[in-house]
Amino acid sequence: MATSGTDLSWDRSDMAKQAKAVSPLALCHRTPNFASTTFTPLSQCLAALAAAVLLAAVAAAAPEPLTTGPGNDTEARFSPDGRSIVFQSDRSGTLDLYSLDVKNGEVKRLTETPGHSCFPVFSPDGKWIVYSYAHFTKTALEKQEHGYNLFVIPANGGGEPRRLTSGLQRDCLAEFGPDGETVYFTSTRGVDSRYSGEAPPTMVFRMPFAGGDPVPAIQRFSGHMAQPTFSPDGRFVAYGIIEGYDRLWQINVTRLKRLSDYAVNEPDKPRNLWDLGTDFGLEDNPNGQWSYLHLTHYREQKGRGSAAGNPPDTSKAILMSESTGKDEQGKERDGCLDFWYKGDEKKYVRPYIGVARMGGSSGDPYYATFMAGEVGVHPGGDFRPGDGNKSVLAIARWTAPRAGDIIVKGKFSGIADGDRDFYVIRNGTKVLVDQYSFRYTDHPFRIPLKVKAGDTIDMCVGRGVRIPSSMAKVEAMIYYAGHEKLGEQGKLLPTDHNSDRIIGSVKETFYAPRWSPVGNVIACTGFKAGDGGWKSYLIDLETGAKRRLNGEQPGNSRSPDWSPDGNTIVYENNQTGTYKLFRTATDE
Amino acid sequence: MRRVFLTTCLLMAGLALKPGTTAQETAPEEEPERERFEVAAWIDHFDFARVYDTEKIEGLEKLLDHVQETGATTIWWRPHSGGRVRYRSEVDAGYHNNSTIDKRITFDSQEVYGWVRYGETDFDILEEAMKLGKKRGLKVGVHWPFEETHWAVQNLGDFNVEHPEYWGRGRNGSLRMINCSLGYEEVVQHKLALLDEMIERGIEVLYIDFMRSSHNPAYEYVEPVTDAFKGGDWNAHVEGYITNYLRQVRQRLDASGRKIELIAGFPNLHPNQKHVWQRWVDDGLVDTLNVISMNWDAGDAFGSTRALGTAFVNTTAGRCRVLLPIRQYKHYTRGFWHYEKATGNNQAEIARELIGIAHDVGAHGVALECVDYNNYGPETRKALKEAAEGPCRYRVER
Repeated sequence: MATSGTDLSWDRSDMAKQAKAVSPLALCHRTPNFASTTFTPLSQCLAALAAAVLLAAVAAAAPEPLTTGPGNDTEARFSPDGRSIVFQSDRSGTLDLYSLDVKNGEVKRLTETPGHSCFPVFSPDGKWIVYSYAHFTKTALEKQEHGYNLFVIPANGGGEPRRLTSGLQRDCLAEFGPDGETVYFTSTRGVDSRYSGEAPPTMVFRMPFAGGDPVPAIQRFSGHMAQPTFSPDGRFVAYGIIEGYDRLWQINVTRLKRLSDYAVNEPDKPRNLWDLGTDFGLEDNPNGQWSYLHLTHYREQKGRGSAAGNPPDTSKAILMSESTGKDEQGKERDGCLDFWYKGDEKKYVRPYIGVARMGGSSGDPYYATFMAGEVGVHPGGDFRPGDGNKSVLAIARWTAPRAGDIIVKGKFSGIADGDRDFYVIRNGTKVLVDQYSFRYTDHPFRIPLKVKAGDTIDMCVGRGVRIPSSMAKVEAMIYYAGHEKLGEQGKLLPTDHNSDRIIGSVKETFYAPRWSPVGNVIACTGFKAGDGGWKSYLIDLETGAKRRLNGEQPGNSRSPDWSPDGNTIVYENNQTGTYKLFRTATDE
Repeated sequence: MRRVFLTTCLLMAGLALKPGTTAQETAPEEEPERERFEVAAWIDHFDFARVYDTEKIEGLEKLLDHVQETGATTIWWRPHSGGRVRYRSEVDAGYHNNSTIDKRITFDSQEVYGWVRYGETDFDILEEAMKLGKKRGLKVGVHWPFEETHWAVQNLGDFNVEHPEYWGRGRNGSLRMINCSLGYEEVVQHKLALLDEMIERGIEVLYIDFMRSSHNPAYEYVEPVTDAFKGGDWNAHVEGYITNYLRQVRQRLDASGRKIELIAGFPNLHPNQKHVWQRWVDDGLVDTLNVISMNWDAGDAFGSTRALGTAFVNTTAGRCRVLLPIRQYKHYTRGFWHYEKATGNNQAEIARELIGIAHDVGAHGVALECVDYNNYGPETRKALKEAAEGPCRYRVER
């Protein structure tokens, strides 16, 4: 039903025409390569210049109101053809979905429900809308069967909604993945007994649009993840992350491949083996030459000695990241470290951190940390043929991206009483076995090897047999000969807790990212001191430049979304007292 | 100096209960010249939501029945929780509380199941609770933690998430999402508007506890506060904004035309400790001091409790009313659990002893933190009620 209209004739401003000058950038469909040094300085300059022009054009365009009338209109999303916008509104008293015809301004109500319908998003083919819905009972004590769950309706409304998820948790903020067939969403469904109190964490899950069971896509032991958005080429994902009440939302940009490989419960897929050769092309490796890892094996166990879980059951491994203990300075740190040195920025970058939660034979979970990227959780196995002790718990695998001479260097140490094993294995053949590391004794090693492209180097840490151990640690680095300077003086690289790319700091906050369909720009909601409220921001991933979108517009400006051609951004603003939709030009 | 506030504790006469009577039955009249010894119950009413249907009046009645099993003479009803308004507020749209998802606080969201939407009930819960309490002869009021609605702790209210421009800042410019600064007049006015709503709903008591955040000048480096700072003691400078806020609160209460008691509560108090409450009492801002906890000596649990209680009564010297603690919780230590450990007594015995001590030393009453469902067991409730309506019925002037 058409409820209201507004004049949406588009003012082709000079600024919009100016923005057209950057259309070559739009054609590039570039994906940010912030971990790479393979761009030539010229290409980087051009990219930065183009992005700057785009940002300037966007930031200067005048906002145009799209909706009027009572209530709050929020959470707008463009259809894939750019002809309509779906949004949520409480204009009728309850929260329902509406669509807006971009050409004539006609608004049509899509849902008419007694509960809350919110956070709509179009399917890539434009035929469907996925949204979150909750129907409440009259009072809490009357109980209900479902919380916020995902539903699907036809894009033009009508028909019986199809339920995608169920349960009492909150599923929201659906987003289609790059394959167009997977729905990613934010949910509290990951809560388990580790969490108590009033702040259940949100994590990102994924499931087939056709239906199926949700599985974790982005999750950690600490912090809350939400609002995923994907790069145009599907290689990267950006999502909001916040550690707790006294922290701020930040945006983390990371590689989608690692997330999609969280396939621990899919038996037909190789489990969690990232491969540098395929998943990390040379252009993605910061200097294309080396990698570094820090692998810890430890477990929580009820009993000691023979009561410890052995052999491990990694088939139930769940990958996640975790802060595990404190470093030598007493600071919380991640249990597994992987740092890349970005030579051009003189920074160490940690691509990702992971922890495998495993089920031991005792039934108690224990955790093996790993780094995503080059490292996966190996099924474990009998690396000491004949003794029947399948004791190796965690393996980091590095796959050579090219032939050459490599150096495997690091130190192996025990963390508590007992002995443990350490193996370095090339293409399945042992090249180093250290079977004893008592207490805190460090065992440094340095192994030069020749490798061909595709050769694998596994590092395995496990419990020993003479005195069963509880923990062992390996810090190691693999690099091609000639690049040893990075680990000069025999020291391992300093620890750092940065992820791939964090957008935000203690002095600014950003959330709800939306990746531009062209270029390297992310739109999001943010705040810096002096902003006067929430503002829509545009962040250039290449240069790091952050610009406010229509920064002079009073009130809060939130939840920006790109038109499919990248020429328009729609967002919500409350300068009139209630939130209304606005759009502003970026390009034509 | 503000006169000692006594009138509101001079009976709810005619409506107090005899032991054994039900809550709804009318009790015999009090002797009008005698001051009732107060038993104030902190009530997080939403914690009853899975037991009683607190979104219905019948549920509220059952809740109050349960609370009155402690012998409570006063209820301190929680109008908010962690920034979420839990009545039909016109000021804060957060009355939808846990039922609406906000992208900025998705992690703050409870399971939908079992949680309440106090903004969507057929009646205003706060107003109804005040009415029901008065009908039962209780002194009625609200427990409004200082930080709530501007300085959330356990969750974030709409005001915080909607107004980053009022967020607190550290000395280095770091932002504090959970902390809106009272240095901004808009924040103060927002809180006062909420207070007006509470006054409209009939409160007789405003209890502000400073238990969680108290003063934290570390996050007050916002322009209004830094611009006004002319050197000297930064902490004292920041404290001035809190005092100024309280002054405005006092003015709002007085402007209501009713006698509304203002109580300030602090944990870990010592009677000889120099503390801001003393100045607030001297300035006439605060009527009553609620001692949330005090560090009694585990070697002589009850003896030292008595000594501290006596010292509080003596040090206030009639300038303000004094409520002494009976507390279930372990935080800040010195709750039931610690008495059990120190004395070997059970909770009912401890409760009987503590209320007796408070009565003996001349305190104006006790405050029970928190009377959630069965937080105080049946025997403990019974012990408290017997004391409150028996030997401790009237305050003893010392």
